Amino acid sequence: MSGRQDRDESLDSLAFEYVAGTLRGEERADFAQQLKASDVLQESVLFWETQLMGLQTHNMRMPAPSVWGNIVGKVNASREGGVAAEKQGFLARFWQWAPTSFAAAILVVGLFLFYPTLESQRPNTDYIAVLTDDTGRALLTALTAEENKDMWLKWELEALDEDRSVQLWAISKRDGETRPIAVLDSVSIDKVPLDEATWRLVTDAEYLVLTEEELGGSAIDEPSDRLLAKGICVRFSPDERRI
Amino acid sequence: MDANDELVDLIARCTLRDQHSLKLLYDKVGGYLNAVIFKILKSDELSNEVLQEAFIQIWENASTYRPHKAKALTWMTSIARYRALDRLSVEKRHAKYLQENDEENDVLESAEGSHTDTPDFSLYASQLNHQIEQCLSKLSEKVQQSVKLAYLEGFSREEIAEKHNTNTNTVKSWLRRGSERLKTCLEGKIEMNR
Repeated sequence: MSGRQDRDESLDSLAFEYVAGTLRGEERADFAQQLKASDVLQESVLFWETQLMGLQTHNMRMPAPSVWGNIVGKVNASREGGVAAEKQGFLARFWQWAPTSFAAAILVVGLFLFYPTLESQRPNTDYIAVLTDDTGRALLTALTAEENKDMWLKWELEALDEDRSVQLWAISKRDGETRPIAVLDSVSIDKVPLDEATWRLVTDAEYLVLTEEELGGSAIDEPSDRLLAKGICVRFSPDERRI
Repeated sequence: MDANDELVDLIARCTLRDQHSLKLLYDKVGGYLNAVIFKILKSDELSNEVLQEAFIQIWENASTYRPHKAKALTWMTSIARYRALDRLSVEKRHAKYLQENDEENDVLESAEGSHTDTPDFSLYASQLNHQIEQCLSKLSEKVQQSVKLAYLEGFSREEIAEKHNTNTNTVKSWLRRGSERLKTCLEGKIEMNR
């Protein structure tokens, strides 16, 4: 048996113990650290998480009625905390960098103005994706309406570089392939008509992603590695449109 | 839409900060996750606390869930189990409970709570169950028990060793060799089912 095979088996065995729960204390912490950086370990952990689920008996034990109330309380507290911190940060930044803050304020006002307008313009929202950058900031919200097969865009980007385009892609949940939806040369574009084929890409999408490309879009129909934002694509059934 | 799709959809809506979807998710899987956590912590008070933490984590990490990688219930169960294991490491009650109940409580046989099935347990779940039980049956009784005590009941190597009147190095070796054989068997079954 080769040294590498030995090492792989040893790591796999650690992955098993991590999932089973017998890896404790420092060993567990060390493994968790390695796990963050290793796709192979992540695959191995996922394998055991999936397979060991077969041992669960699927009984129910109803939690105390107060549990849901506590969850809501914590969710709201963290949301309010976030908003308060955001407001505080905004004020601080405003006085330090007034021009930037002014632009941000315009965006916030725009956001408030956008939704009522959008609500009145779009008869049906069937799919929505909020595309966020790696810091969690929303850069683009994309909504589609089946009736007229349009995609509505709400940008949080102020402008694009003049010699660049951005391109929107759909990652298929069926085969994992990434396919182009639209090339966008300006953040003033707020509506993209979709043909039947492109509409189907949206309906099959697990994610939408936004990349920066050469002017005119990717020449090879593949996204560049300049990923700007990514968002899960969510379908709304007709009686549940609440966004 | 099957049960998994429904859960995936609810998790996706949590990324949009839709609390109503979190509530639906809680109604669908809260009882099941609480049972998973309870089996590890053996305390209603603690399992309710950990269930809360697990749901906050599901809410906060919803955007990191990848439907093509894991079933929704697997992802949520992993979150709940890891939170329960974290809690075990800081609570001494587990050890105390084991001491007090060692004689009368066969943990592998205990089945607390009601037995209503959760919504997801479809063909896929019974196939997984069949698969792992078949593969486990090829291991010695002690190794089978060790795997189940660890995964389902949160036993540490030391606790498994105590239960089997052996030392922790032996348990470590059981788990290592057991996991290797288990993986070979499971991979064979997965390949056959393709």
